Amino acid sequence: MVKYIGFRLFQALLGLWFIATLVFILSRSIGDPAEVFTARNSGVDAREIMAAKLGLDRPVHEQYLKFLGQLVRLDLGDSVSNGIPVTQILVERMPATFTLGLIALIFALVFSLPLGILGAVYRDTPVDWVAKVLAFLGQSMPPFWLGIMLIILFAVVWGLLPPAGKGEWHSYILPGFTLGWGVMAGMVRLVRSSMLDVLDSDYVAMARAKGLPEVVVIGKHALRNALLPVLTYSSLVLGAFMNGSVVVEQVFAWPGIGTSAVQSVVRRDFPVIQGVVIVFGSFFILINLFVDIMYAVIDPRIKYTQ
Amino acid sequence: MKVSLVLLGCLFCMTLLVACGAAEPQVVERTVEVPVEVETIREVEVEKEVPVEVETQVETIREVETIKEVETIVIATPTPVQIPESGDLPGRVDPVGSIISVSSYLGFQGVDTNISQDSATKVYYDEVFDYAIGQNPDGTLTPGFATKWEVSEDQLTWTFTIREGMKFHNGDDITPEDVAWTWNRAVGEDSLGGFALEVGPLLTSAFTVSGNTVSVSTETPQSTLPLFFASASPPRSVVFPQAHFESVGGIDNFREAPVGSGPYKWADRVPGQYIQMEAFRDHYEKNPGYNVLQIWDVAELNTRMAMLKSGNADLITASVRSVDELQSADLQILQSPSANISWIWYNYAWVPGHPFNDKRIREAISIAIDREAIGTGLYAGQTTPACCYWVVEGNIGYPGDVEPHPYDPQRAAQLIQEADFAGAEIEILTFSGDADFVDQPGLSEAVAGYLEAIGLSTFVSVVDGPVLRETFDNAIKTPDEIETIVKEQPPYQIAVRGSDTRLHSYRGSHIYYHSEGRRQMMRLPGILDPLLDKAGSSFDLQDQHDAMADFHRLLNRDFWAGPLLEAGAVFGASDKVGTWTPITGKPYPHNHWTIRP
Repeated sequence: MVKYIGFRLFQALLGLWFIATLVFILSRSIGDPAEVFTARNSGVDAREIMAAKLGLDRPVHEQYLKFLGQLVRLDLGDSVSNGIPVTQILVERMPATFTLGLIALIFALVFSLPLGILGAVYRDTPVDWVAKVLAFLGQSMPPFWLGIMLIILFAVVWGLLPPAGKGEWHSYILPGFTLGWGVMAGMVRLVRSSMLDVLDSDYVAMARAKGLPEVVVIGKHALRNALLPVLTYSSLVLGAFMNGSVVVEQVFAWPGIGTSAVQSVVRRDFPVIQGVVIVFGSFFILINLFVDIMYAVIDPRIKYTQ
Repeated sequence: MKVSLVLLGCLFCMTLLVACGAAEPQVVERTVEVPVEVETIREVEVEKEVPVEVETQVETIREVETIKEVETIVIATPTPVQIPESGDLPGRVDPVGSIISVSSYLGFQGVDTNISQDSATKVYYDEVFDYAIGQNPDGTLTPGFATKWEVSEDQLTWTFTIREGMKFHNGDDITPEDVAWTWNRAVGEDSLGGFALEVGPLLTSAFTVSGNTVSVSTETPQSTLPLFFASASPPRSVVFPQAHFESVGGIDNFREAPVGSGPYKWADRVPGQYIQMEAFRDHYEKNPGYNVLQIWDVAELNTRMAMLKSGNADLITASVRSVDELQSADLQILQSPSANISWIWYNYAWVPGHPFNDKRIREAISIAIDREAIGTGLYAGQTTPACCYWVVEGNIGYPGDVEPHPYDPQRAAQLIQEADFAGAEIEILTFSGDADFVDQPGLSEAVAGYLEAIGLSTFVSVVDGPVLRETFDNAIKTPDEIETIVKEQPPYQIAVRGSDTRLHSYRGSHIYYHSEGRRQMMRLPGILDPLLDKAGSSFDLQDQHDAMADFHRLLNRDFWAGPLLEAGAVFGASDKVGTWTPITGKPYPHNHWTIRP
């Protein structure tokens, strides 16, 4: 187990290094960032000052080593549009994105698990049809449209919830629902199909043959095994929430990393763009690492094989 | 496999070790600037060259055109100008309650004048800080914390008289030393702010203090220098409290709790959400109507509208396309008149041999477009056809006697045939969304449709600023590169651009149209340079106005630019806004201190 975790950690570090290197290469392959940012103010002097500020006047290999060294110290430089350290910007914004993603995931799980289980248990009944229709709607409604519709309905027409911004607990409802809705749709299908596979297995038939209550058969024996793919999907989804919350954050004026990413792209704020990509990539890798470890914990049969 | 993984791991570890070793400790250097007064006396010979060709052309203009008398517009005066009476600006009241203003300013950009900041930041700058020179509701300039500004006899030294008795929000007096220190910091060697990049190269001295004045010398006469110190420009001429700034350790801490002197003082900032301010009751002139002002940053227009309709906002930046929705929701519609203007740029029009150098083609493109129909169909009738590039009625240099290009598709098609340009492929570059003008992609598609109707082949490319600058900016290309580009096959490029209107368009026109301009989107040294040189060198406001008016007449008459539409900035407001005094030409919420319940 220790060997397994150690090797996964090593792989995660390699992945982080690869992302950082890719970000470094890509950010310089689109052109001279100093020229991009200072072009509107023109002047050779301005470009030289900016290049010196960003360290772009040094040889590439020196820039790369300095970049890695700063990353290790969690120093992502300063924003060129407001001078604020990128780390500070990300730290300020990360909690909002993270909590929104977590709430969206909780919402998705709370709705998808019962719907998927019921759809599998009561296959081809009205309950199953409701689950399928909700899954279909969830996957066909784009979040930017859904978000605006929910704002109009719940904030403008009924006046029940705030339309934008992060505040009290009720401000999380609309953006959390919007972000989690599409994922919920996919999870319903996944839980349903996973449960169907498990419900047809021999050990479930054995449990029923032993006379166990159906609730115990489903809740204790079937569900635990059906959850493994859901766990994997949840981890991918949580990582996707961090990245995919950009649209939802824009619609709901949510003060997260997504909003900051859009603003930095519009402003060509290259240190912030770099920082956001590295954070998003790192988060994805760490979540996958966590899931791999949890896999081994949940199912002792799972071992790393070469 | 195992060996290769081990080797990869070793390489990674080695790289990290070297990187950690190569990482240099951060050395923080602080340079303290000490302004030194240097008195210099020099004689400046001013040569006046009057090229015969140009003079002939100017004379031709005056012979043909009928020039109407225009109002004298006060831009710089040796004596303070009285602020207009109520009806224009509100009287003093006791602030009450709070107000929420929502716009899209793309995030907090800090308050460091050493960083290049755009006009969007004025949403909060204009409330927290004062400028040396202010602006009346009709757009004309008025004293700010400088009561007057004068130029020396040799026209090389500008002197600003600093108002006495003004206070910062922390109670400190605003002194000329604070002003000089702030401005010297902004033009410092490492500064990338607007002051440093545009004003810095013009200066031959630091800003120096003498009594209650601050002076600076320029290398050549700069008649329009005061414009950089006006609130009409991006935030540059604000003043910081030097003692407080240094006591908190510099910009990093000052930025978290800025101290200004404006009608609202900084209270709090929720990153990514809003900035909260409180009324500053000791301002010498501006008296806010509300105790608390929250300025939110919301990018999505539908969300802003929802906030207004649901009572979560009191004033929002809307759009000309929102007028119907605001009316049906029984909300107030307020406008800052003539805030934006759109136009067409022709790439390489100045290059002999390029199709756009042919006036017939430029004329055809401009008169092929039905500006009225676009205004009605795309903007719900909220725009008007524009006659001139960058200026509208009331601006310095607005000709007043120039009509928008007519809509004449038959003549346009005929001109295209005559110029043997039928079927030519034209790429229309534009920005996304409402970057410079409302719905630029939609406007570009409309333009494309009209050009297709006269026999041209078009397609629209949505780009961003750096791409557009690289495509159009002749200043960054060598003559060989330009020659090569001109010889290339189509598509020929035009850009549908927009911008805020300019109180005085000299500076911007010089940047884009003068052969020595920083951008040089157009080069016509024998034609445009003399007019711009005349406007830039004369200290007589009427001369400046006349020269810029001639400049705009020339652009219009010879189709060097294709002005499209003027649009006002539309704001939606709830009943909480009783009265408000927006300033003409401002596309963002501003002057919050004039809002009265």
